[in-house]
Amino acid sequence: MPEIILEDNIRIRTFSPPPPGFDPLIAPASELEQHGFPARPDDPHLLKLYRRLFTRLKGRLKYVEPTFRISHDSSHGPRNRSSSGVFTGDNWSGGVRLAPPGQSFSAVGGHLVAPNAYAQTSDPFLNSYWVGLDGYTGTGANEVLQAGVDCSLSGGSSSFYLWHQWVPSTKAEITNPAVSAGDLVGVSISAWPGAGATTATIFFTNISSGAVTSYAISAPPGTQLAGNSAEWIVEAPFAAGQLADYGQVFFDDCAASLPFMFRRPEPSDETLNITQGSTMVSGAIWITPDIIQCVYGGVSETALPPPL
Amino acid sequence: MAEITLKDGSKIRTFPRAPTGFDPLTAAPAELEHYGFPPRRGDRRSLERYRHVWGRIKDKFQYTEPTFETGGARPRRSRQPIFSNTNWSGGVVLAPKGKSFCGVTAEWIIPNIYAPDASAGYEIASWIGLDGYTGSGVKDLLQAGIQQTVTGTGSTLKQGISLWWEWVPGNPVTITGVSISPGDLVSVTITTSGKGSTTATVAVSNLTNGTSTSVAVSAPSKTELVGNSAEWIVEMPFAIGEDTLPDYGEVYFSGCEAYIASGGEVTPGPGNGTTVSIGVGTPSSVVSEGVLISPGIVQCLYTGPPPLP
Repeated sequence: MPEIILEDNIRIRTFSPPPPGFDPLIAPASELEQHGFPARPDDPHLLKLYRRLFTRLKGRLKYVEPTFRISHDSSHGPRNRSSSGVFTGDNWSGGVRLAPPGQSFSAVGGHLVAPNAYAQTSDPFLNSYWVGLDGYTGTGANEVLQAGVDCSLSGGSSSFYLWHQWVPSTKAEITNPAVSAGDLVGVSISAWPGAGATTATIFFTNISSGAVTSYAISAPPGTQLAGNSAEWIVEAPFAAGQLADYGQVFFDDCAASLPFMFRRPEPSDETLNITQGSTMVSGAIWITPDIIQCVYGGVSETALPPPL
Repeated sequence: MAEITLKDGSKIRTFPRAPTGFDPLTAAPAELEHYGFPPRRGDRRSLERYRHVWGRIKDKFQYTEPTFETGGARPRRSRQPIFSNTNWSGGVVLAPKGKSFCGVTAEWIIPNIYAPDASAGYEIASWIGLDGYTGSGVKDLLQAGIQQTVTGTGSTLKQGISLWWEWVPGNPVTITGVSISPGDLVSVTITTSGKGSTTATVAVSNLTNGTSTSVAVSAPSKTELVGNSAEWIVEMPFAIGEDTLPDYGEVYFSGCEAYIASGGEVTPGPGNGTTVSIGVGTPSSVVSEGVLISPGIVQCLYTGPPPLP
């Protein structure tokens, strides 16, 4: 398995591309692993999502060997939980699911349509849409394993790219495969066996274009996964005031897995909003147990559940 | 206010540009009508939706004088049923007994589309509308939204996107001048006076970049609104019976409301409305599915391609 060594000693292992006609719906587990595809889940709900994804890609799945660049321009931080339920901060909005006491998440996934955004001023804006593990509370508070889509706006032009970061390591941006505004992107991160993991496999699918890629990364030195939270987030990495109006994002097929078990969503799932002073910059709401809606400027009151 | 007669004889009116600082949240009803804004309805839910849409756009609102093109925007489906299980996917609600719908609204992100192969043209239309589904309203259909085409792959990839309305059995008309790209969040509101209407106002705002426009349209001759259904649809516009729908990813229509002429609204959601899906082939295989996700949210999801023959 080839290893790519980037600046800051970021090491990425790539997988051998699958042969033409490779079908993840029937391939043996060893071949899925060899090519960096997610394992076929045992849980019936997750298996249904898995089948749906690879069925719609049949005949047009294009495996792309990933290429990277290191970014020192932006980085992502944790958002430490200050209270349960809904709370606000200056960088994350979205949904968070906590692992049951004594257990840890070993995988997280979700889909989103990358929204377009326009800068309102000549300031640089950066919008990040990602799924991840940790960075929120307890033993996982200082480390975040995350992968997603960025929309970077500067001087009137915008660029979209895929990226990952295992905080506190440096962020790596993916230069190929490409992603564009309006594309439906699937993101999956597996970090077996959950707590204690020091390697993870990232699997990206551009469902609209059919491009798929996968690679394996290592935890930052001296760091290991806690796996105590899973999240689906719209982030303002620079500042709340440098999040461009993105319209809205629906994260769907949101799933977080425990080893040997899929955790059903629970009412304890939490939501986060981004505020700047008293202004709501980005709000979020769980509209079903596996769909979270994030809205620039805040969720409409008509979307909120009726008062009890 | 300009009156324009299109090539096919149909008449439309455009509205004067609202003055700088015009605030639809506080303007008088007559002013809203004068400048082509949707009316502010009195009930709490409608009012909250109005605040949500106009509140988020007020600092970047930019009125664009619309221009029009007829023909070619959308292949005709003459003598085809307006609704069939081979071309619509999404959600439909019916007007309560004895009442009629006078308007429909929603916003959605415009998907990016690619052709799965270079051998054919692919096309989708995402739109909201009134009528065209059932009963005495099946003969007319008042709809507005986005039509997208794609051909080629890689360096030959060619994507087209147009904003359009159509009052079936009239012709489709494309509105040019509003900047809309894949990934933009676009809000559309169609307003009429309910059953018997022969005019309607179509108001479109690109909530992502602030570009907005309105146009007053007329019903085709001998046609008037019935207002018995409202719908939020991803359509496979041409080649009925063939699979020319690309993997458009998914479309979430949010803020969906169907306004009742006598007041109040019907909100599509679980247990409130019907879903429709696009099937292709014999036996039919679903390639695009409608799902009523939660009150006000309708999802259209690509599920194909159909199995190879």
